[in-house]
Amino acid sequence: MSSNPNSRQLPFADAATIVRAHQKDAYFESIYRTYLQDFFQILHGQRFINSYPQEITVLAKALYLSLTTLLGARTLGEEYVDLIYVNKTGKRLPRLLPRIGFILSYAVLPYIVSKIFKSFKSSSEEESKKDGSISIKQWLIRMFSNYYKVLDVILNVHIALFYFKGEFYSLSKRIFGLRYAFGHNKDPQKVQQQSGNYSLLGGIIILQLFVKSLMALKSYNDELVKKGEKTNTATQRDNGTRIHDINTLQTLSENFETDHIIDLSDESQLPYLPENSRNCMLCLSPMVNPSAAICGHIFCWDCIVDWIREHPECPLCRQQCAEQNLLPLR
Amino acid sequence: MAERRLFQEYNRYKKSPPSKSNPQIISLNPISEDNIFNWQAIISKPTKKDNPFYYGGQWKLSIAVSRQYPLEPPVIKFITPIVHPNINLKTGEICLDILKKDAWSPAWNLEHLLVAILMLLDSPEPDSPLNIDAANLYRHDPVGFQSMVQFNMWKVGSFVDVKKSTPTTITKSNQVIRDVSGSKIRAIIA
Repeated sequence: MSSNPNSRQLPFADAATIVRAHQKDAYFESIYRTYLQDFFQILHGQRFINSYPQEITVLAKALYLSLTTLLGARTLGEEYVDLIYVNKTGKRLPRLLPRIGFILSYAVLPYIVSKIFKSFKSSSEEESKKDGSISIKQWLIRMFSNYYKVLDVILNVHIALFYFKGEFYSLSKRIFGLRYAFGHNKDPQKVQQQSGNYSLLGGIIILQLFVKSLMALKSYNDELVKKGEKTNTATQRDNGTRIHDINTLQTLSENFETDHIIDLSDESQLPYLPENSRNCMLCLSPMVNPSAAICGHIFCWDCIVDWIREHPECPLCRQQCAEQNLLPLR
Repeated sequence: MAERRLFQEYNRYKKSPPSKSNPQIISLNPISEDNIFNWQAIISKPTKKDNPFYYGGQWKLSIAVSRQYPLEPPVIKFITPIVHPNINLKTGEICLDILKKDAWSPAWNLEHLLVAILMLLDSPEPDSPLNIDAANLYRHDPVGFQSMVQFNMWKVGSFVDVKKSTPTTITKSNQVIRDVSGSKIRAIIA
C-alpha cells in the first residue's frame, strides 16, 4: 500500500496513530458537549437538557467537525499525532464535497436513521394492532428490526478490517474516501511494524463474530427442530429444565410466583418452625411467605409489608424496622 | 384481609370464649353474622374486689371495625353511659392510646382491647380527661367519685344481671337498688 520511500508522497497513517487521534477527538467532543449543555441550560433550563441528551451530543459532534474538518483545518486529535486527510490515492487533499458528506454521514445520519426507524416502528405497531394480517409493511418492520444487528455486524467487520489494514477507521470515511496520512515523513517499514500488534485485535473481533454466528445458527437450528417436534408430538410437553429460548424463560418467570410460595399450612414447608409459631399474628392464619423483621418476629410477607409501609416498626415488640429490613424465610 | 382476620377471630372466640379466660368479659360477638364488621361486647366488674368504683356494673360496648383492620384499630364506644374520667358520658367515646392509630398494633385483637378497657376502668387517668368533672372528682374526692359512679349505674340500670348475660335494661320488675357498698337494699316491685 505504501509506495517506495523515495517518493515525495506522505506515508499513510497506521492504525495505532489513527486510534490515538480518534480518542483525543472524542475527548474534545465530550468537552464541547459539556459547554453546549451549559449553554442550553442557561437558555432553556435543565429540563431541556434532560429531554434532548442525544440531540445535544449530535450537535456537539457536528459542530466540532464542521469547525475543523469542514473548514479544511485539522481536528485537535489529528493535530496531536500530526495526521492530515488525503484522498484515496493519497496524492491530494480531499475536496469539500466528500468532507461535507463525511460529516453528515458520520455525525448526523445515524441519529436521523434511528429517529426515522423509531417513529416508523411505533406507527406500524399501532397499525399491526388494528389488523392482524401480515402485510408488506410488517415484513419491512422485521427487516428494520434486524437493521441494528446487521449494522453491528458490518461495523464489527469494518473495525476488524481497520485493525488489519489501518485504512479507514469509520465506515463513512471509507465511503467518502478520506484517508489519513502522516504530516511528516516516516519510515514506512517502521510504520508497518507498529501496526502489526493491532491485527491481533482484528483477529479477536473476527473470532467473536464467528462464534456469534455459530451460536445464532445453532439457536435457529434448535428452533427448527423444536417446530418439527411440536408438529410431530404436539401433546408431549417439554419438561426439561434447560432454558432453550426466551419463551421458556418467560413462562418460567410467569410461573415463578406460584411455584415459590411458602405456605406454612403445609407441614413439610420449613419444618424447623415449631407448630405453635406457624400462625401469623396479623392474619391469624398459617403464614404465607414467612418473613422476619429485624427483631426476629415472623409474619406473612403481605401482612407485615402492609403494616410496615405505614408504621416502620414490629407489631409485636415495636422495634424499628424498615421495609427493606424484612427478611423472607426460605 | 380484614374479613378473613375477623372470621378467624370469631372462630377463635367461639372455640374458646373470652368469658372463660376472663370472667369480666361477658360476651364478645358480631351483632349479626351477616356483617362481621360490627361487633358488640359486654364487660362487667362483678364484685368490689374487681374494682373499688365500678363494682356490680356491666356495660355494653359497640365495636366498629374498619376494612383496614388490623392495620387500623377498631372504633370502640360505650353504649351504656358510664362516669369515667377518660370516657365521654354522652357519646361513650374512649380516650385510650391503643385505640388510636399511633399506638395501635395489629398484633392485638378485639379481646385484647376489651382487657385494656377493663384496665382503664381500674386505673382512670385524670390527667387527660374526656369527662373533666369525673376527673376532678376522682382526683380530689375518691369516695364522692365512687358514689357518683354507683349513682349513675343505678340511674341507667347498668348492674350485673346474674340471671341474664345480656345487659339489664330498665324495666321496673328487675330494677335493683343497691347502696354504695354494693349490697342489695330492696327490689322495687311494680
